[in-house]
Amino acid sequence: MRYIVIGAGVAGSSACEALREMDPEGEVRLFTDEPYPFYTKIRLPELVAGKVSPERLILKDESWFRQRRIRLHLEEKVTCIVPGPPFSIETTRGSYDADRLLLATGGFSFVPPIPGADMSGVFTLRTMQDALALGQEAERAKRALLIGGGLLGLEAGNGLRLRGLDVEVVEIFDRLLPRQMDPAGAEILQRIMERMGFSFYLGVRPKEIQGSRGKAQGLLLEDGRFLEADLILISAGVRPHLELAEGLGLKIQRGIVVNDEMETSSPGVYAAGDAVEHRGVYYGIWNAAEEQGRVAGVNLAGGGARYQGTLMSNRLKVVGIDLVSAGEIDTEGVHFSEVKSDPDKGIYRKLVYKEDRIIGCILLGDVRGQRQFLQALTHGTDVGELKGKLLSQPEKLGQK
Amino acid sequence: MNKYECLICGYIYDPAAGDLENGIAPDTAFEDLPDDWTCPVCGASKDQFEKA
Repeated sequence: MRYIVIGAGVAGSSACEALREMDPEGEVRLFTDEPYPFYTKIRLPELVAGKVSPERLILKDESWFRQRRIRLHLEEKVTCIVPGPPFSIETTRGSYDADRLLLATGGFSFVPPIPGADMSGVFTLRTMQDALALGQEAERAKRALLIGGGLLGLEAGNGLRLRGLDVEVVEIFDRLLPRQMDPAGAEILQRIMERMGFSFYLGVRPKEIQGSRGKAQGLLLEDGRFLEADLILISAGVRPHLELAEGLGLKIQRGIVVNDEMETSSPGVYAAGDAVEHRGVYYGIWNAAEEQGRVAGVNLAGGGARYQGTLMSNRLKVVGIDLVSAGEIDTEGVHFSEVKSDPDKGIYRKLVYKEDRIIGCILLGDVRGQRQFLQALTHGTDVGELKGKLLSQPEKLGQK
Repeated sequence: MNKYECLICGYIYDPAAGDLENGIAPDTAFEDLPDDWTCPVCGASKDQFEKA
């Protein structure tokens, strides 16, 4: 059997590992257009901050692949796949044949259609090379402007701040982390971050990136204000790489559609990780990609593994601050809520109730009780007379 | 000694086992891991761990 895996991120690498365990004999080739083998994207902000070297981010190096007789093709982009099986793969360096195929092509940073976004000095952060380029530019820069106030953006911005830059954040929404936070909680997070040195422009729309001689010098907002910047980082979400899947005529919705075996609509072609959609869900998170990759690897080799979905974690860290956000966080304030807020200490705790059940929670800066609250939320526990009195005594839930 | 779980990938650090691949001997408490120790599965830093 000849296998080709495209993409050496967490899905592609864990697939190769599982595949090799299942089939010690087959020919396995792994292609990536990047010059680095499997590395962790989670720590790219630290690379931007200049706190670590690229080598420290590599999780499986070339010798790891060699030991497993996986042929690692670095800096070799797959340009075209002729349908099969057998499949014929064209790359920037040659052509190869395969009986089975895995698309682990991952995602890329979405760049909204802002005029001027193609100027130099405008960055996104998704790959090691992105981080190195951004870090290099940051060495000469004093002011960074961030477009997008979501989790990834704030972490990347923190990397720049640690490098000594002034960081301004522009967000279309009127608060930070709009999906995880209600207005009051977001304001407390914002104050903590302002004390760290961030500045924010919320509820504003970018109009145009302006500069001279092709180099960005700042962002014009629709309200007419101009924000000067030496570099601009756009952090507007991730989209799946779909070109190869489209070329093969695979079924695509938000991502490449796969079944529980991680097989696409075309027999012999599997897909896993940030490029896929499973049972209508696009995950884009580490542990989902790892599990999908493992299942795909087993099945490429003829095994019978099934992927059942991954529980989305509700626990986060944002710029080093603990945050739990789950369920209906009631941003409009229509439900009965129990709130404990201590802006000076950067603490915001909220439980949202419907009748006698917890239906949502936000815990910022102090996550005590998270286990009990999340359990009660998941199981729909009737909290009875404890309603509205749980934040200070989560242990009472254990007796329910 | 407490076990700690990685918030990113779910790896559990078990102090009884340590992390031999990265030179951490058995019976090393999470608190005693070096600051630059990272999750052996996903590379997350120490501050992404939480008591399991």
